[in-house]
Amino acid sequence: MSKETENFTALRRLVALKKQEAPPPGYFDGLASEIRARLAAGELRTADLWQAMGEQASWLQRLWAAFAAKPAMAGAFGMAVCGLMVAGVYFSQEPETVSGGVAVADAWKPTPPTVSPLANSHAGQAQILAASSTNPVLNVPVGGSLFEKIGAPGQSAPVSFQPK
Amino acid sequence: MSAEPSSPASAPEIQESELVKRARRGDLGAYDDLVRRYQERVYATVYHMTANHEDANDLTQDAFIKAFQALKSFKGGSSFYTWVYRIAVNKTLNFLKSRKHRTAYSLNDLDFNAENNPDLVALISDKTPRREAGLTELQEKLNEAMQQLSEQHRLVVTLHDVQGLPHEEIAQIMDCNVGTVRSRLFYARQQLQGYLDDYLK
Repeated sequence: MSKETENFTALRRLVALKKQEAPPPGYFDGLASEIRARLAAGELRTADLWQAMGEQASWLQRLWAAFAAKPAMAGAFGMAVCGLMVAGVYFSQEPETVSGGVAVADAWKPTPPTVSPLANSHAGQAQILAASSTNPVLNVPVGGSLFEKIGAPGQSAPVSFQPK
Repeated sequence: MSAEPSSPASAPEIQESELVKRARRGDLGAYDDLVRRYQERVYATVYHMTANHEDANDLTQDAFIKAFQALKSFKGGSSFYTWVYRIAVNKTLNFLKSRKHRTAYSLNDLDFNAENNPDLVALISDKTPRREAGLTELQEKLNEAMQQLSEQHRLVVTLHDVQGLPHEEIAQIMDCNVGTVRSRLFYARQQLQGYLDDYLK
């Protein structure tokens, strides 16, 4: 035991050599200044932001902590989310059905395009070309324009200010 | 670089608690005083754990910044010194765990007093079989041996044999009982003795 103790004494003397390892002169003056500069520059603001976020989203932190503690739970949650997404995409492409089993798409009949009363008043002149979902623009002939009526007799007369 | 064990003198304690109170209110000047008071000891511990000056610099800064941010949660159950020490130690242990491969050593130079230290001179005297070894070689071998210890064992040796902290304070910092500290210290010394056998004959 005494030999062991003696050896430990020698070892402790050797380990004490580490006390002599010193950083460059003036290093500690710079260290304190750097810490203060970092604190003043924004680490405080970041900390406050995180704290504010933490107060508002503590449930998210708890969820995150739970996932970190149980990776299997995180995996199951991820798979569930993926499953929901796949199901959502799949069912969004399926036609909706009514209770009787008739597809809504089949029951739907396209309604004729609504034409303004103005166009109806010129029904004889206007030729409405077929409007469909691929050609929604109504081709109304220019002849049906209101401006054609401006020159009709009895409706308007040019005014002259020269003495007759 | 040597650290004295924390001496619980009443006047400095009051001053420390006052500084902590002011720092808690956002007084950066007060916190600067606290940093200057303990930075050498905190840096030394981190440095001896990592054997790398740059890593120690980063970790020490991070530890003090985290301590300031968490100052509101400091209850005062222990001294601020022990509390900030724990933060630094935990940060260092996490860093060492995340570091997959050992990075190159970045050792500090030996203090000029080392050559005049009788204990160290004795180690490289004619009595040692490796008398050709200079202090620098000894320093490298010692750091290599330290790095072969597990983090927990290295920490105990650093805190006790290098920093000079008592077992009770180490137990507080490491959050374990004094018996565990003693047994870890004994095991770590045995391991070190095996690694450095050539230099201890």
